[in-house]
This record gives sequence, C-alpha cells and structure tokens, in this order.
Amino acid sequence: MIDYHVIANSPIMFIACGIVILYVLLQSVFFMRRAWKHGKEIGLTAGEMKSVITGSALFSIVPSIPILIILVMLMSVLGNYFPWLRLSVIGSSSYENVAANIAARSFGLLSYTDEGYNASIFISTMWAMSICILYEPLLVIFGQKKLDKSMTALKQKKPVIYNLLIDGIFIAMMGWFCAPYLTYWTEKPDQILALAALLVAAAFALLFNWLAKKTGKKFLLELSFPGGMIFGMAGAYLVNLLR
Amino acid sequence: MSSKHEDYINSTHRIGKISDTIAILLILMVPVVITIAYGSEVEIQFSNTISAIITLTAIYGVVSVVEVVSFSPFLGSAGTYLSFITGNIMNMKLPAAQNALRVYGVQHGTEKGEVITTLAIGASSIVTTLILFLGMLFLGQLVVPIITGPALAPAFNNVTPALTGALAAPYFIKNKKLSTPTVIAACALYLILGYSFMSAHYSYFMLGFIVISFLCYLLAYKFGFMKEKDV
Repeated sequence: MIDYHVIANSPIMFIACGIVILYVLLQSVFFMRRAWKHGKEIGLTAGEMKSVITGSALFSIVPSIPILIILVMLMSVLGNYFPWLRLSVIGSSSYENVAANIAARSFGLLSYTDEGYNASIFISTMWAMSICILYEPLLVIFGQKKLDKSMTALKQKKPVIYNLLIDGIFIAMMGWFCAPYLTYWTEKPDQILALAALLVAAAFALLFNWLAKKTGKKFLLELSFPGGMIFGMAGAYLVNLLR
Repeated sequence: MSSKHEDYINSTHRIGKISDTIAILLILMVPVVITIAYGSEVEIQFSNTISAIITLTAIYGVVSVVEVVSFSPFLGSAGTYLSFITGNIMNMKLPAAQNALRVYGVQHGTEKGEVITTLAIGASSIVTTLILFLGMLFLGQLVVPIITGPALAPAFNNVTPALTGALAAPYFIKNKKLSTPTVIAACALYLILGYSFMSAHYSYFMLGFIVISFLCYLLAYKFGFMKEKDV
C-alpha cells in the first residue's frame, strides 16, 4: 500500500485544500464588502468601519496562536495540507484533534500517532472529519433565516424579553465558560495558572474600561479586551514563576 | 427596520445559503478527489469509516445544535453564515463580534450591529486564515517550539481563560444581578459533580444550564426581582 505521507503531502492535496481555503477567504472579503457598502447607507463612517476591522484583526492574532500549535501537532502526523484545511475552514482547535483520534480508534488504533496508521486510515479520517464538521453549516443553511425572523419578531413585540434573552444567554454562556477555570484548580493544582489568567485578564479589562470612562479616550476602550487578554497571559506567566 | 436594511438582510440570507452550500460541496470535494486519485492504490475500509462517522456524529451532533442556537444571535445574520464556515467561533468570532459591539456601544439585532459584527468576523477570519497559511508554510515550525517551550508555555497554554476573563468581566459587572447567581451556580455544579464528569457531558449540561438560567431570569423579571432597567 502507498505510504500515506505521499498522499498527505501530494500536490493534488495542496491544490484541493488551497481551492477550498481560497474560496472561504474570498467569501469573507465578499461579505465584508457588502457590509461596508451597507454600513455607508445606514450612516456608519469609513473611519468607524476601518476601526472595527483593525481592532478585530489585531485582537485575532493572539487567539490564533493556540490554533497554530494544533496545526503543527496535526501536521507532524497528517501531513501539511489536510490539517491546514481543517483548521482554516469550519475547524476548531478542540474538534480536529479529537476527531482525528476517534477516526484512528475506529481502526483499532489508540490514536492517530500510532505506528499502524496507514493510507487507508488516512483517507477514512479525511472522510469522517469532513462529513462530521458539516452539521453546523447545514443547520445554519436550513435554520438561520427562521431563527433570525423569530428573533426580529420577538424584538418588535416583546423588547424586554428579547433583551433578557440576548443578555441572559450571553451571561449564562460566559458563566458556563468561566466556571471550569474558576474551579478546576481545586482538583488539579496546576490549573491555578488558568485561574490567574482569567482573573488578571478580567481585572485589566475592567481597569481599561474604567480608564476609558475617566479620560474619555476611546482607544482605551478598544484596548480593554485584547489588553486584558495579554495581561491575563502575563498573569499566568508570573504566577508560574512565583510557584 | 428600514426597507433598505430589510432588503440587505433578505439578500444576506440568499447569498449566505448559496455561498455556504458551495463551501460545503468544496469541503467534500477534497476527500472525493483524493479517493479518486489514490483509490486504486489504497483499500478503502467503508465499515470502519462509517463507524468513525457514527461515533463523531453521536458526540458532535448535539454540540452542533447547541452551538448554532446559542451563538447565532450574537453573530448577526451575515456573521452567522460566515462564522459557521470559517469556524473557531467560541475562541475567535464570538469575542470579536461582541467586543466590536461593546466598543461602539451598538446593540444586537440593530442595523449597525449587523454591519459591525460582519466586519469584525470577516476581519478575524482573514487574519486566522493568513496566520494558518504562514503557519503551514514555515511559521509553525519556527514559532511553536518557542511558545510551547518551558519559558513561555504557562502564558500561551492559558490564552483561552485569559480571553474568557477579558470578554466576560465587563458584561458581568454591567449585569451583576444576572451574572452573580449564574457564575455561582455554574461553579457549584463543577465543584459538586467534578470536572471529568462535567467535561464528559459538556454539551448537554451547557444546553440545560443556558435554558434553566434563562427561565430563572424570566421568573425573576415576572416576579419583580428585576426591573426593566436591569435588563
């Protein structure tokens, strides 16, 4: 049987993956262009919209780094191009690693790093990972318009309930995401670093917000989220040094 | 809603559906092309492949429903079509959209909110795609050994909790009446049932937690524990 690395690093694989990524990149540009034009129609200035784009682009650099780590990890086994595709399109750093392992386990291996990993398992992994990642976009294609319309109707008829739903879901979701970082250190002391990162980031985000209010400088408000995040990471670093 | 915005939203749904369908077909094209190109040299084991698909569906089917229903109200119409194709929603697209709305003091579901979330999500997608492209070419091999080394690992292993803290704190402070009992309840669940158990049933618990929290907020509002200004 052909070595799966030959398939994984083949020019055909590069071209196929490259086409998909290029398409999705152009899709982003297209949606942004439409939003920009519409933004002008509804009174947003070019400066405001540029600032949204710059702020979001700058913020996105740091959270891309953990994805880069997963990419390198997957690339060492699954070749250069398929992990690049999986993490650039729909993928998430948490899903891809687990999905690749589950596919390998269906062939009796412990993980995708096992020596028995071969071309047959590689192609099956591609199929399994590609099919199972499609549920979310399919749900969006068939359900988003209805969901959107019902939210708009709710907003018009019962604005208080709508606000409660939007704020409530977000707070419940954030509470749910924060809880493991706030508590896991009680079981696993090493996780004190995650707690430190969360709390320091929260404190600095609030500090930036407060400074923005006091001074009236908008850039401090724009800095509160990415700045809080960087200080949170520094907090984890310092707590590790002090342990 | 102005008629211009209504037209924009309607065409967004039409374009979103078409462009996402094309993306799905292109994603499936990759294993199809590889199977056609190398199928004669490789024995494809269908039963194992189907078994992997069934296992992944059992795990991620529920996650998919929970994520689409929970995340889409925060992403806007165009942002939702874009986010569920570009991925990394919880750690990239949702924070990017929420932060942009907060900085510009714009509400969800408004005309400006729709434009701002689309621009923020689009910019975030482009940056990640470019970083991953460079990562695939050379950046990954160059940077990853440094950031996973003993010196910097404590900082870079904790990007997600730092991101969560920085994103959540302003909302928690703004909505203390909602957030305080919510965070306490979520922490209590983790402390009582344990991290391993909660992780194993993450999606089910998350869905249940969000629904029950919302019902509690609703009851609190109905019985006057919360006023309109608190919402």
